[in-house]
Amino acid sequence: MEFFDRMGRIFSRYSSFFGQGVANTLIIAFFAVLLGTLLGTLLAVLKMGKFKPTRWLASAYIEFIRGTPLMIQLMFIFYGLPMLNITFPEVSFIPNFERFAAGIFAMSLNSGAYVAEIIRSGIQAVDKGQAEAARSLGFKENQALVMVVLPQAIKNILPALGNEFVTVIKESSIVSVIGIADLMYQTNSVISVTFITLESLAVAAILYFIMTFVTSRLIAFAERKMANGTR
Amino acid sequence: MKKVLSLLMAGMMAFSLAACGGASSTASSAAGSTPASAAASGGASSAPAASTASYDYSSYTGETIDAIKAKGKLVVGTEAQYAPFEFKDLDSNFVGCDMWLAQQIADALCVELEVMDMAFDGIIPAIKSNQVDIGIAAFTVDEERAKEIDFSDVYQKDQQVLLVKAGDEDTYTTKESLAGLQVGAQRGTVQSKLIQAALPDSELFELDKWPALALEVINGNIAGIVVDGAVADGLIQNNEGLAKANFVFGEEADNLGKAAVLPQSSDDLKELVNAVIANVTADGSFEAAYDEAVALSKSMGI
Repeated sequence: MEFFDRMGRIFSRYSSFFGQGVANTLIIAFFAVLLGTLLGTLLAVLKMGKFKPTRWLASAYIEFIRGTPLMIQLMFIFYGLPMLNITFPEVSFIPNFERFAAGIFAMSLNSGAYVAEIIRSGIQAVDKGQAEAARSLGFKENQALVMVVLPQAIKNILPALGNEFVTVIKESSIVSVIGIADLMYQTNSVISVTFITLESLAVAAILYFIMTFVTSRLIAFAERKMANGTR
Repeated sequence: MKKVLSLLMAGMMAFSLAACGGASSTASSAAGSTPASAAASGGASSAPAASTASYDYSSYTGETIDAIKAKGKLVVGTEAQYAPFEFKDLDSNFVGCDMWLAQQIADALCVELEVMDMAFDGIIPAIKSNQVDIGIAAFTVDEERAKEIDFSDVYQKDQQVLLVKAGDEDTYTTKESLAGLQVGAQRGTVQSKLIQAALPDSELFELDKWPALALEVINGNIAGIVVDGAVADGLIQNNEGLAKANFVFGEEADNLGKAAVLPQSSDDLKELVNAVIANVTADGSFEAAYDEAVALSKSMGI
């Protein structure tokens, strides 16, 4: 069919564009997930903690971030912060570091809120008796959390966390609005020189699917590995 | 073709270095040898000439120019997604006639050119916050924008074209035939202003990018779109469902031109930019660069 033929020709001619886009998308998604998980863990701990002000702050943060569009958050971080004289540093040997930093920062702040809820639900799903048993065996409270509850919680939350990874890869297409050459941005570049829209988008869709599919398979593999230890 | 172009670019840079006075012996020898090798590899007669070599801009000085020279580079903001004005070639180099003009300005200042690629809407904020020195992105002169920034003189006037669904070419030939129908343009562009002025009885339909607008026309959702002549050619060449309407815009389209965008407090730089524009439009080298960019963007189809 002509459509697929044109897709093939676009991909082979512009593989360097698409390749660079895939690389940048993966870089952003990777760091966003990594930093988002750290932030999310912190938020979850705060939200379940005993200290009321931080508990309230964490809740407010999670609700606000989950209740506003990522696009607006990104615009405020990239264009709004410099107006308050808060700028991201330039790193000479990484081109466009400033933009990448802003993009990753916004994605992490956003992802952190979702991850926090995933982790909280995972921890709360572990039977209370587990922590109580650990405590009665002489574990301190944080020891019980880290050594008994969290390992079981991670197993519970892995599927949901995997979903979040996949979501971040797809959502990262939004960073193209601040000029980061991610896959969506590169696809728009291809459209702008070839004047062929749907076929270029179809190529991008396949590339996104490959990225998300591989990610979810890797998560499934990790799940199986962890399940081995339970019997 | 690409090789010829890059050789010419190298030649141009060498020439301009020589014009800047501080040229080393290697630069002048490169200037001597490059045109010969370019001719040997096919002789691109239509290639843009190295125009700055024959002009002297050293008399232009001022606060902004001094700051740029101290920095050693001219930072130009653009959105490299608008062939043939600014786009990326297969090696991800910034090309197009706007980028050629940017190079001429950098050469006139005897500094290096740094292109900063960003969303079109971000260019004026970037100029106002001094992230870039100048914006060259097929900007159209417009009073609303002029409140925020300064425009240089106009360097290019493109023909405005009404694109319609193939088969409708002879249906929509007058503004009466388009009365009550939706006609599309990119949001905030000269084309959207043109529709309001020239087609007062039609309904303006705006989207952010022309690719989606073209699909609207192909699917018959809107009657037509107005685009720059060069964009129209590319779209027709690659989309069977589109055709140029036999429609000619009247005097409303005459005053629309493209200009560079500068910060408001930089009259010294503006004078220099205007001098460069005057020279390259008068000697025909800009037009040659434009033709070259059109040819390059056509060669990038699949």
